Amino acid sequence: MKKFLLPATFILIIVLAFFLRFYHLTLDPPHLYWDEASIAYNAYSINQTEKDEWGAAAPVLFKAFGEYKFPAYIYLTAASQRLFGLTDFAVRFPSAIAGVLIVVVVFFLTKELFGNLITALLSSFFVAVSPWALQFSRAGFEANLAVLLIVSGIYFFLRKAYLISLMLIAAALYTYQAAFVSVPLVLLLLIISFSHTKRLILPLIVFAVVLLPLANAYLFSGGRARAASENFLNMAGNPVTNLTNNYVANFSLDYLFFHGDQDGRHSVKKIGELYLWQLPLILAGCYVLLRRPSKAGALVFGLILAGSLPPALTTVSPHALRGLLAMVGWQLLSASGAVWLLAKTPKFWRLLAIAVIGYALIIYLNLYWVNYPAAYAADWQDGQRQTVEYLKRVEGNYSEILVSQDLNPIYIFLYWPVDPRVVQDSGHNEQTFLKFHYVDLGGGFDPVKQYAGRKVLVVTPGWYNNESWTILRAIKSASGDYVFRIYEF
Amino acid sequence: MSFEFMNFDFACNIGHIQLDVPHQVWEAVVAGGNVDPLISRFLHSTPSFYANNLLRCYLSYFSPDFLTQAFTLVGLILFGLGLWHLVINNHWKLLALVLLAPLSPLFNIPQSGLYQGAILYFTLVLVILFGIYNLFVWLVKIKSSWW
Repeated sequence: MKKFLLPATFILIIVLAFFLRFYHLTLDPPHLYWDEASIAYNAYSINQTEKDEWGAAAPVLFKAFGEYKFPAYIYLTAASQRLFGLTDFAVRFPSAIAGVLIVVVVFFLTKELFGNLITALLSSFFVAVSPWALQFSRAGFEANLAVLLIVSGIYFFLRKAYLISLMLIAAALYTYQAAFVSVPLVLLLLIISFSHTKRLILPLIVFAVVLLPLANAYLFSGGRARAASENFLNMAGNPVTNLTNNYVANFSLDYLFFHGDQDGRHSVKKIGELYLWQLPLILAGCYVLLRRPSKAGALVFGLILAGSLPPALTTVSPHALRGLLAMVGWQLLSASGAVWLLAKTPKFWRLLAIAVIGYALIIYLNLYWVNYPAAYAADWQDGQRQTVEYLKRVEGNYSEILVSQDLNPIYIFLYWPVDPRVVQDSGHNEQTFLKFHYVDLGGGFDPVKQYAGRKVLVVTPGWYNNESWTILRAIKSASGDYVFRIYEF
Repeated sequence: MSFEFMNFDFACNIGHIQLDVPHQVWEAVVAGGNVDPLISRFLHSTPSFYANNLLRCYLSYFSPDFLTQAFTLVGLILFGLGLWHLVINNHWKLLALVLLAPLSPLFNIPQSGLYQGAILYFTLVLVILFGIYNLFVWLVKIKSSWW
């Protein structure tokens, strides 16, 4: 019976993880935010021209908005677009599938670390239903893919498959910038605690060679721009105090258990990054792992401590996205505590615990699926796609389309879609392309005079009102707010 | 210890919770729309908002960011060490005192913020001192084992 029960439970957990990550994937979050749109268009550009939107051939870093995105997620999206076409689903698919695979890998990693199937099942279940993991699995966040690669790398390291491990970790470094901070620390811990040094030399050399193109691009092609602009050293005040406060903020109980990250794209804000019921499990986990220090315990705490470091080095902390690796550590710690508590509690308390966990999951899913898409539609730039799709339907009747700055050009590039060669050949001109002209509708500019005798569409912000033009459509976001008004004259 | 960062005006208390909860109930009702009242009560209720807020405020006095603001990072680490030794050495009376201390600022008892602060910080400092003591004991043990 037990032989059958454990694999069946594991399969059920994977099915649950799959459902929670893929159900209504393109409807909630309600819209691609601009980084997802940029990833999608660069992937489209690679598929069409083998160059990015700026005309760079197969780049190691993608210039995108000038922040230089890391390449792995974009190339994966390009592959995904070959399967699913130029759709919103295609850009979210790699992250969603990575989210499911994290659940699977965490199971095997925990089994390898603790040698206990129940701990492994519980940790994979905790990841499957974690608000922290779900939030970043349901949108095109590179960090989610990076966490999968790091966790897989750790697993293969424990299995002594050093070359595979280091290649996965190198791939994580090609995926998300925050990995540059946490990966060396995790790697150091792994080497000290788990490795056979002699067998590691050759894989480490290959690892260094594989990273050379990235290091070259990062150091000499503007890759550091984002890190430099968001560095904690730019904050006012004493840098040591700022660094300390930033780091400790990631362990704030309010952040972890009550309100989560306050960026509307990073959490539902009404509950923490972890469930409140995990607090006693985490305390118990600390007790169990600290009472009898072990390499497994060191790795769990190492994941939490190293995973919480990237947000501390930036100006915004706590930051659930940059600290996503810590999520895995917290779930492993919870699972260790849960197993210890399970052994000490009678059946009634276990049933009560199941009821509490089920109730908390329902509360979270109600927040995420019912309230969240409307409440945080603006954070996901909802309304941009609808506006471009409407323009596409009626553009044949007009010679010019005037657009306010509120409609980000990346959405026109993506949803029109504009041939990447047009963007590349124009020297990435975002002000005038095809029929589009970006204009400032205030400040004495009179479009009627400028475009006299021509049939013109005008896209204005939702708050803009011009009674002398004919309004064609007002575009609303999921929150019910007017995002754009489309006029003609 | 950086006393200038010690806060004697405790914002997370029952008074603020009583002001916040009606707003939270209103927000939940608006977000819920025309949901069946039974489902609505299942998903959110006034008692659950009170319980959640009380727990949040209570725990905020043990939160690492609060402790770091008051005692610096070194103080936080020593507090953790002290707490750990209270647990593993079964000092339950002292532990109970520590766990009761935040109730003073939480329920405004006594009313003066200064007294609330004195009660709270005194117990927290006690744990830190216990941490320092245990650190000292550990260092002496290491030193004697080396010699």
